[in-house]
Amino acid sequence: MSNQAAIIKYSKLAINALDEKEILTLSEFDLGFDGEYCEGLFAVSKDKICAVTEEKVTLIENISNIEKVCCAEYTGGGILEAFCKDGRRQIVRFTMRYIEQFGAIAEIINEIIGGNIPQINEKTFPKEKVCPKCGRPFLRNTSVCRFCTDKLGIIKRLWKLSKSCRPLYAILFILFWITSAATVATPELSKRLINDVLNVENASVKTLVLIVSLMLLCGVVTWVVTALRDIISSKASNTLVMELRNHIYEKLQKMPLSYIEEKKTGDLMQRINNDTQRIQTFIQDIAIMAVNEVCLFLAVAVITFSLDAKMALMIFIPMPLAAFLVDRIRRSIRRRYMKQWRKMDRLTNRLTEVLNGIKVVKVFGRENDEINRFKETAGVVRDITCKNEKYVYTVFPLIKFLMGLGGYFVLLYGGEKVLGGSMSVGELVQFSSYGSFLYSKLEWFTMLPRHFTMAMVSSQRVFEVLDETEDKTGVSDEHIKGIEDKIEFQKVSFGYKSYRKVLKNIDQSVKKGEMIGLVGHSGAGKSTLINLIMRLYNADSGKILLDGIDINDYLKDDYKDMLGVVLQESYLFSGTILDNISYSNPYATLEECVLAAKKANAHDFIMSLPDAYDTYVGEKGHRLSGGERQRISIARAILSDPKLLVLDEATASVDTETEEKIQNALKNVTEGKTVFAIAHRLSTLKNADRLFVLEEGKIVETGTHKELVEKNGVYASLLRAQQEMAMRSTTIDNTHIKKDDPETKNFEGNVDNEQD
Amino acid sequence: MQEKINFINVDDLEFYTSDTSLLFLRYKGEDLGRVSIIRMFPFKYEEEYIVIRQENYSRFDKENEIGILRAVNELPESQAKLVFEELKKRYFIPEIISVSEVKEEFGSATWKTVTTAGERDFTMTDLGTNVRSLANNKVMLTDVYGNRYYIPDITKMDDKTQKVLEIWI
Repeated sequence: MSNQAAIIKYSKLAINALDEKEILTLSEFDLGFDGEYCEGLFAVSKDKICAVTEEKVTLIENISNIEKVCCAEYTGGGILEAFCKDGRRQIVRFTMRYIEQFGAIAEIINEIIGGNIPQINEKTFPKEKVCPKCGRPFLRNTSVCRFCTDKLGIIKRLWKLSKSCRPLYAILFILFWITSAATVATPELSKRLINDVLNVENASVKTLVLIVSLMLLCGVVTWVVTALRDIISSKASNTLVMELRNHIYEKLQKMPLSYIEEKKTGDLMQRINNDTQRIQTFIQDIAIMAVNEVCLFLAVAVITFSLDAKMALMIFIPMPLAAFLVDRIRRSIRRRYMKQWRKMDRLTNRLTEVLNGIKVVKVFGRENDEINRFKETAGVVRDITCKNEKYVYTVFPLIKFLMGLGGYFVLLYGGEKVLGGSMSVGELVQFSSYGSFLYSKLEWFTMLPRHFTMAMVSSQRVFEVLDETEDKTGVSDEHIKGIEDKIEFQKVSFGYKSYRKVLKNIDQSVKKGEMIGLVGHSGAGKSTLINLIMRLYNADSGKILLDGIDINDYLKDDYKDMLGVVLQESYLFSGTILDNISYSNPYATLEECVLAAKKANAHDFIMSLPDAYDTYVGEKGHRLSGGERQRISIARAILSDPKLLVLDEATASVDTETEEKIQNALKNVTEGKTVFAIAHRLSTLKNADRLFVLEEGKIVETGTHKELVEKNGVYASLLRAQQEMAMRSTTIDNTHIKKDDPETKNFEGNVDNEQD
Repeated sequence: MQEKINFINVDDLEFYTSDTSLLFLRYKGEDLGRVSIIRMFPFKYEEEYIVIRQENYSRFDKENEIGILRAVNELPESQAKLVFEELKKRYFIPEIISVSEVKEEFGSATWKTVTTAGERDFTMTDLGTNVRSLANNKVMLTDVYGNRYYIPDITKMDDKTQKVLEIWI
């Protein structure tokens, strides 16, 4: 709906229809069941729902008649469906624009059906992310409108940030005026040289030497001062950019994981590297110069007018036309080059992809196809590049020509004056020099708006990150001493998207020293649950309490200090093994690190490496096996002696033999600690004190392995399925697989799929 | 446990709708209740290779695929109509008829268009990923919310539209 008045009107209709003063929640919608866009408002009160479409109430329903509602997401839109007592019904249809709202509304209605009047706040009911000023959606998950931001505000912020560089700017300003004076003086000296020396019979050599010396001085001053100016301006802009980069990086480290995952790594890297670079270029090459260039331009313009107003007009009259044409040409060049870069990008991407996956190419014998594909793309790049260059080589001289256009008029008019004797040759030369100077500046000025816009966009992107709200750092002053009592989950619900809950109403408590195994199908919510325990995400509703205090209220550092984590993907940073172990606790002594490695069963293999603890690992370092990396990450997890240990599929990516080693290592370290473990192989969790069986975000069974097997429920069926599969794969291992037997091949494929 | 591709015999299908036009199915005489129909290759085949699934709220139940319908047109006309209706609901991808304004700034494009579903203004970002060119000059656009718009033949669009899109195709 485009305007506020319409919303109010529709709301009034809804209030009337609902017979209720208070609407619990409402949302606009924009699609009718006939597949046409429409204007509509959907509202929920304590006991009724209603929809208003095109100023008419089109639906009204008592919530008591509904058993459940669900929000179905389809391609390009969604539908809210109700399971009514007299059958199923589609209530309202909307485009993707309103999917989050209706996801939340579905939750709210279901709550009401369940007998609760839900608390509605920003978190349970996401607001549509639209700029209140221009109505455009916010771009890339931010809450700043790029179209409506105050440009002056951005400049002010940049200025504020450049506090430490301001003395340098002052020096730059002075230096600039020195070079400018030299620039303006040179044509004057040329005039004197022609009029007072070259055009005068018996002119004194002394005057000649004086003028030439002054010209030389101007040259030297320009050279020295320009060099100095560029060095200082580079220092000033680099300092500013360094500060900006540090600010963003610091900010990113403090942001919640959800924010970083929402943005692509590439996008964030672009902001830290390219955007700041662009700001630097702008400040160094454009902004500092612009102030001075404008002043200089005006100064020279005044000089030309004072010399000869009519002739000055000849310089200025063609200027707007020239500027317009140059701008147009430049735009079209840019467009062409963008197209070329895109194609080139595709070529590079394909190249990277194929080189990374060269094994796959070779194994499937697709070399020739890849060669042909590459040739084709390379051909496209050549064609488009040739076309662009042809264009550029034709129009660039045209730009130069356009820029010199005024000069011809000056020569024609001035030459006539010289012939008529009303102007000296020196004056004409001087005037013509000022003319070329003005046009050269004009060319530069036409680039200004684009550079300015680019820098504003980049600054905006940088400030967007700086303006985001940081991760909660804790409000309590209490330092944790260890788990005295227990961890409690109180009606914890969470979804990565508000309309798709991954965890629903988790209500459990865990005692100190207990080992909890989390089991369930993939997607059941196991990893999400530990993500919440690790405080990587915050629960949408409900609380996780540690010793009776919300985990989010603990000081972040305190909380992370007592948490040890071993993930499935054991990520090692570039550096030595020792660096990687001590990452969790940089203050640990060498002895402590070695002890941790020993406990993690890693010491022996580390000692068999030529550089032992100083072995370089990481992207370009020593290649460790999955099991070895895993044991290093276990050592890392236990170095800080955590009270709470999270094991996320710690043994998933290793073979059975290695798994045993890791299991032993884990046994060493889990003793006396509260452990949450996820394992794909259920056999690994046999020793857990209790298992939580999750299904579709709910804990459906709890108990020990034995109890759950006896219960013969979800866990037992999971276990059976896995055992059957294990047996089958052993059978396959034992019988030699005949390659051309389609039955076996298929069979094998299935097993693989299952393991995925 | 061998998997097979199960193409459905159209004679076994009998679709029917409720008064609120939800799609239900009787398969081989058995009432399966509400079914969903999903295109296997939505960009290549709009009316062929349609998977029919018995609606099930558990994501883990593997048994809910009834089979694949080779082509909707194999069905008797009245039955095909029901399936087309459902497809239209499930895939809301209006076709762009004309563009009255398109503006590219700050790396995003804003459009004022008339589509087969009525007038629509929308904003796109990341044009590199959200402009997808398909075979035969077809182009699919995705806006910031994830809504789709479809251009059946880009060469027949106005110059400005082509200019904005050509870089990304």
